[in-house]
Amino acid sequence: MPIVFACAASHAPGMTAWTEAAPKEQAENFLDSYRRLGERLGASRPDVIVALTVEHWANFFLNSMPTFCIGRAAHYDGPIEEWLRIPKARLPGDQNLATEIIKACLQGGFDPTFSDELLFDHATFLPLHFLNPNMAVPVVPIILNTLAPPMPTAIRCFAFGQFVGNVLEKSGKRVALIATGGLSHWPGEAKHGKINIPFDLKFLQTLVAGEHAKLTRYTHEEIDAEAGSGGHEIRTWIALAGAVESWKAELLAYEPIVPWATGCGLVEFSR
Amino acid sequence: MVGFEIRISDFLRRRLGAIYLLAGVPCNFRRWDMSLYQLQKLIYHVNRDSAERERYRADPAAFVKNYELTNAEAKAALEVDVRALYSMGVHSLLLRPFTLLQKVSNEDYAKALKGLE
Repeated sequence: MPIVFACAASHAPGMTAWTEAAPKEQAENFLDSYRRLGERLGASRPDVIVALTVEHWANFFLNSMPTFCIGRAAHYDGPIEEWLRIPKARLPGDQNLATEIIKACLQGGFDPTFSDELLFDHATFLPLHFLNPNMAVPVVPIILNTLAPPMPTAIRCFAFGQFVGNVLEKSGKRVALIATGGLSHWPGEAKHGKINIPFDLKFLQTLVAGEHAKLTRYTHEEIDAEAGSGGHEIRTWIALAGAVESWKAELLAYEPIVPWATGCGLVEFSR
Repeated sequence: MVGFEIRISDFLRRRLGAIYLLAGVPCNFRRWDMSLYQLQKLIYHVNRDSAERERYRADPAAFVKNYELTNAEAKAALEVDVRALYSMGVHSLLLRPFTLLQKVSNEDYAKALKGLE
């Protein structure tokens, strides 16, 4: 069975933790699009959700920082943030699919780490709150290091996404593939609250136009300067673009929501 | 001798820092220092491990001695000096949760970082 659904979405904690701080119309426009996206994910009847995701010092530290890590746990607990205003839950994993992906990677030229125990922070849990409302569909998280430099290059993320996409297409499961993170934001930094709208729009336009060669040319320095430390998370979107390379991307929503301190985007892909 | 070497290295570091700051160059050449690693490790433990957090709260001065910190780093950690910790290179997503545990408000956090943009 193939990939049956694909989308990329931002995960600003303010979406749930301080929803009402945002202008009502802006918040509703964005969150309604998020919920409708969740309905379509449900309608695609996935056996599993594979999440190209990130984390914020939830599990990993600088003593051992994986570039790509595939979750092979039986279940995942989250969110770790008490203040996120999302009920805690235990999500089932899919150890068979995770093992299949890890083995294929090792035989096919990628060398990810894997983990049998991961906690989810808002990066993974918040998108699933909207996209997997009953938290019933099993999840395989694939965590990209977008936290501690040096990070994987854009071209490597794209190639990794391409590879994983091919594995999922042949997996025998109906897979919903999601990418989470970005767009421009400077969390906890001196520039906290800044949103680079031109950067975000250019990135979204490039993605929607399917200009993949351009996506792979984003450099670490460019993202760091233009989109902040949080902007590095666009690597998950670039990986997703590789995974569903021939699909058409549609921009569902873009809102630069200042009280959430993030350029918030939603993009859906279709065959 | 080891102590002497550390003092010299601290001294040079401060001197270089002053020169870099005067020249307006971002002062991030310390990012691979062992002690920055130790400082971030302390913060990571307090943020993510409830038992360590309790130990830190019970006796902060004793707790910071478990990490190989410079005097300035130990002082900044004990005083939760947001500006100093940020300037030392502590990752913002370690620093903000750490300061939230000490009830540092958004306003006070932003005020502490003013001018570092």
